[in-house]
Amino acid sequence: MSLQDGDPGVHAALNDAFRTDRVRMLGTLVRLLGDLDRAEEVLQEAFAAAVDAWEREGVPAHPTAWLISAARFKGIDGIRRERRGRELTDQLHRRSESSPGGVDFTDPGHLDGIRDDELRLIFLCCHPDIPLDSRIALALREVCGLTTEEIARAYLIAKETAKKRITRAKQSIRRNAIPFELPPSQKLRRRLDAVLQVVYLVYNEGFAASSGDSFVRPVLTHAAVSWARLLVDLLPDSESFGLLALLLLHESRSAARVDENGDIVPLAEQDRRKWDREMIDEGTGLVQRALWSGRAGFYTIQAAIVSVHAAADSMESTAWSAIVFYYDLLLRVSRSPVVALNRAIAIGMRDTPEEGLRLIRPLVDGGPLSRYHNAHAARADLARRMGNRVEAVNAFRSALRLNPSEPERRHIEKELAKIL
Amino acid sequence: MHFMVYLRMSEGESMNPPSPEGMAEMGKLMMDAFESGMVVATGQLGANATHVSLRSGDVSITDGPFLEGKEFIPGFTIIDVPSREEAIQWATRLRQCMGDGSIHVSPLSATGPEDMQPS
Repeated sequence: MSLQDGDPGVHAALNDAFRTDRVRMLGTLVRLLGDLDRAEEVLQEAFAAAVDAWEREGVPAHPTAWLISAARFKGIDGIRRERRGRELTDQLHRRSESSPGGVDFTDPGHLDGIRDDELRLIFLCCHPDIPLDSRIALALREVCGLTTEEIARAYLIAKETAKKRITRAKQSIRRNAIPFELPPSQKLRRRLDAVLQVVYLVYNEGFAASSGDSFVRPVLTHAAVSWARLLVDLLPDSESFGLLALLLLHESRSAARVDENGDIVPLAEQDRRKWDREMIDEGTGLVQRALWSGRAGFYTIQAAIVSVHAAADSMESTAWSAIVFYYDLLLRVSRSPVVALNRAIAIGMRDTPEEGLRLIRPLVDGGPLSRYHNAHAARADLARRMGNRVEAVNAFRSALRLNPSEPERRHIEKELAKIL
Repeated sequence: MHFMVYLRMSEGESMNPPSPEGMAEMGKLMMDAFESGMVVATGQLGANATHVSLRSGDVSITDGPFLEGKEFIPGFTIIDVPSREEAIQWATRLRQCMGDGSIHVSPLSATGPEDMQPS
């Protein structure tokens, strides 16, 4: 939302409402109107109407409440005009006037503390019945407020493709009759995991873009971090804390991990003075809370690993035994060969390169990671450190054959050139 | 006996992050506690509790503090151990992982649905 001209006070108030309360407003409208498309449309209309009304009458005391009630009025009015029958209108009235426990949850005075609608919207957009790429596109649009163009640009897809993904997501909500409800307790964990997965995938795509020239897409990393923050506010689950911690700890290195040419700087060569201490402290504090207050899950353990790196001055002074411990834990949660690879690398640092290499070889030689360029690059690195030049050269060459992204390819070629 | 072991924190205050070794130690302590069966539940209370109050029959809902002075509980564990001594011992080990600061141990009595079955 950007408003070019007019009263700067109105402009600021609208931008403020959009930035801080958009998800809440949209969620409430979906609940009141029972339809995501309509909610989006009337919210947009309400913002447009507010420009005139607020310039005439001044900014209202509760801008968010004003926008919701203007949008709701437009929504109900629109349904009436479409002559979809009195029955539906009655139903909508009942929906908005039912007030459990004598509390009217449409009363603007009650909107502040109660944020169920935001959570409902998040769970709706990330429902596992929606195909994954559509789920991501829908959530980026509805939860993170990205435009279709921004989504298309971030994923290097045509605008039409992004649009189609969103449409498909909305169709699958309708077809599967996915309700606008919070999941029941016994399903909450699984559904929350689905939400966290979407946030994580968005961040990963922004942090290490899988295609294209540029390695980092800040629009995605920023969207994911704000979303993770919102989740921590809405639902204090230890894994939400773990995920926010993980993203902050990764973000803390963003100034150091890519050089001026857009090339990757590996951890060992990063200038650690460029790491953002504030983010590291916040992230590490969150890891501590998460480790204590619940299951040490996928995100929490990864965050714990990154926090160990963040606390160290150099690769040599890193607490590798703590890292190996966390990888052992992580292997219990996720039997992924990539985790096994990283554990082998950590053992290579804690003990000797030989020890690490002994664990990596079976993963890449006809093993589950034989097609994974990072595994070959890791093998090359360990082989080089123990002076095994032939194995290192071969492994770097294998990594290059497996289609690394453009910045990764440049990095591997640079490393290979050093030993040729 | 059941005990609640918990931290209290004021809003705006941040936890002093422990050393990497201390944090891994804490992870181990929690894992062992889970595996031995002594953990009944572990969790945290969100910082933003809602305050519901009734005055002359009118309900008012505010985004209120959980306790006076915006204090909240960033982590708690309910443990089932034979004695208060053991509860204090365990809490001390947990605190040692985190470094200087305090930790609270409170006996806890709770009734669940299974306690309400007629015998």
